[in-house]
Amino acid sequence: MPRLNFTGRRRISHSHARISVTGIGGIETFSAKLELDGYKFPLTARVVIEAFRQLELARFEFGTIGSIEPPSSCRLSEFGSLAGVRFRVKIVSTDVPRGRLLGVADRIQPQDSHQQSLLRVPLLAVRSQDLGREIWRLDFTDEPLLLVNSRVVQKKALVQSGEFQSMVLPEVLRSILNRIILVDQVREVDGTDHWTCRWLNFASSLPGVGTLPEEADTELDLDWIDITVGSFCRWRGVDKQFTDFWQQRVTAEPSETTEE
Amino acid sequence: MLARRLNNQGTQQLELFLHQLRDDPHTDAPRELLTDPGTSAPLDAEVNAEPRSFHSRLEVAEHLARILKGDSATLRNDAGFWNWLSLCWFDELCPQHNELRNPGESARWIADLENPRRTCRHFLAGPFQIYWAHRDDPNRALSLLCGAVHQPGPLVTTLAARPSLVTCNAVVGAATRLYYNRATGRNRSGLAAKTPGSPKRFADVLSQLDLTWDLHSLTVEELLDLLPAEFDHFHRDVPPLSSGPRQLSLLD
Repeated sequence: MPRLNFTGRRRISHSHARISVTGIGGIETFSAKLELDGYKFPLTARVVIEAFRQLELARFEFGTIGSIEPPSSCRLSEFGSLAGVRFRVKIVSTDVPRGRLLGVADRIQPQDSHQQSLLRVPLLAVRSQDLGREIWRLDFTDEPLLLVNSRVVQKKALVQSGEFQSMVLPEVLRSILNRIILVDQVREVDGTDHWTCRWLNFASSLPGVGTLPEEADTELDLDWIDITVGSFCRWRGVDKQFTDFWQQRVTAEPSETTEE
Repeated sequence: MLARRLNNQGTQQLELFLHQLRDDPHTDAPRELLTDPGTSAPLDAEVNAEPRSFHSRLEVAEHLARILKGDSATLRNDAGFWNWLSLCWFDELCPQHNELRNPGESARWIADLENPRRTCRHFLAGPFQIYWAHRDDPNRALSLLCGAVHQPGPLVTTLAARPSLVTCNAVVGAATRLYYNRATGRNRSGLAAKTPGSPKRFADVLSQLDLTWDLHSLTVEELLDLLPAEFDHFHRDVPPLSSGPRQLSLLD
């Protein structure tokens, strides 16, 4: 069994790390409202805020936990348009060995100071991509992304088909939950907009599923995932979807015989 | 020639041309898309896009940084601009071999800037974005910028596809220390396999370290010290004296 280093890094709730973006004279700046007292981080730990979008990154030092002070400039001018820019708050140890992460709030969507509403985020984004001879693939580079081979099929036609909905979608759900719980070992639902929270909330909202067991136990976790996928299938009427397209297939090929 | 941007119609026709070229390697590039108002539109800034040949990804990135100096913030996020430039420089970027052209996958020519895994494979946007992220010291990123424009190499596809890693000075500096051979100006050979110390293993280990360390706070030396022993022979003559908090090997 591989062993992973784990430093006890804590996830900071997005409600305790709010970022607001303001445009003044065409120059975009941001401000941060951090409520970190409850996390008991060492007073000497550094507070760093990163603004990022794909391969663009700007880091801003906000002092230490004992003395949080914004830098002299929080300008975001190098991003041009701020569409798609997200923020990350990191609490970094200054003890030796330095650089350990003590806490993180990731993928914070900034609020426009004039528009407090946030965009609704879809649970699973679907994108067309050339996948060679693969038809579909789940990509976990960032948030889970369902890739559909643009050379073979239109993404909308595929994901709306009875075949895909009944035979693939339940396994997509299982793969994502496996990833969250067994690979990334995340089981907290802290009310943030992080993708893991959105999926765990969705799963536990399904009829008869309940919350994820508090303690990690592979057998119990696998059972919980099975129950979730089963409930999802009942909720979506997956067996009916399968029967419908299967009956059509059988009707279209009446002379076909099955050999054992 | 002043650069423009391909609109949706122009980008679709570029994609169609790439499909046709795969079937018929003699197909000519549809250069009329570059100036047709129905398929392209002018930019707000004046960018000189005169075609020229490039010997390396670093050279193309440096040239792009020069010509985009006036409006890099807007243009580097404008997929239509990158698509137009790909078509404009197509003959230089996709030279004929035995009178045939092989364009490869569409991601090399059509920018998908929302998707890092595809962006890093774009012949122009890929090297430029890496260069831009390390413009204070491009030598740091030589392992990702060496080599021919049409041969990004396995290190690029494993490392540059992960934004949190490729923007990090320590990670990119360590990659150059591990894999770039200054004597030859190229990366070491045999980097494609997932063998101990390979770029794929490097990316796997970094993905673990990224969960527990603020990699941006580390120096190249500090990061190299955290790597498992399988990487030692790439950058050390003798093993380290002290045993610090090293990442355990995942392939014991």
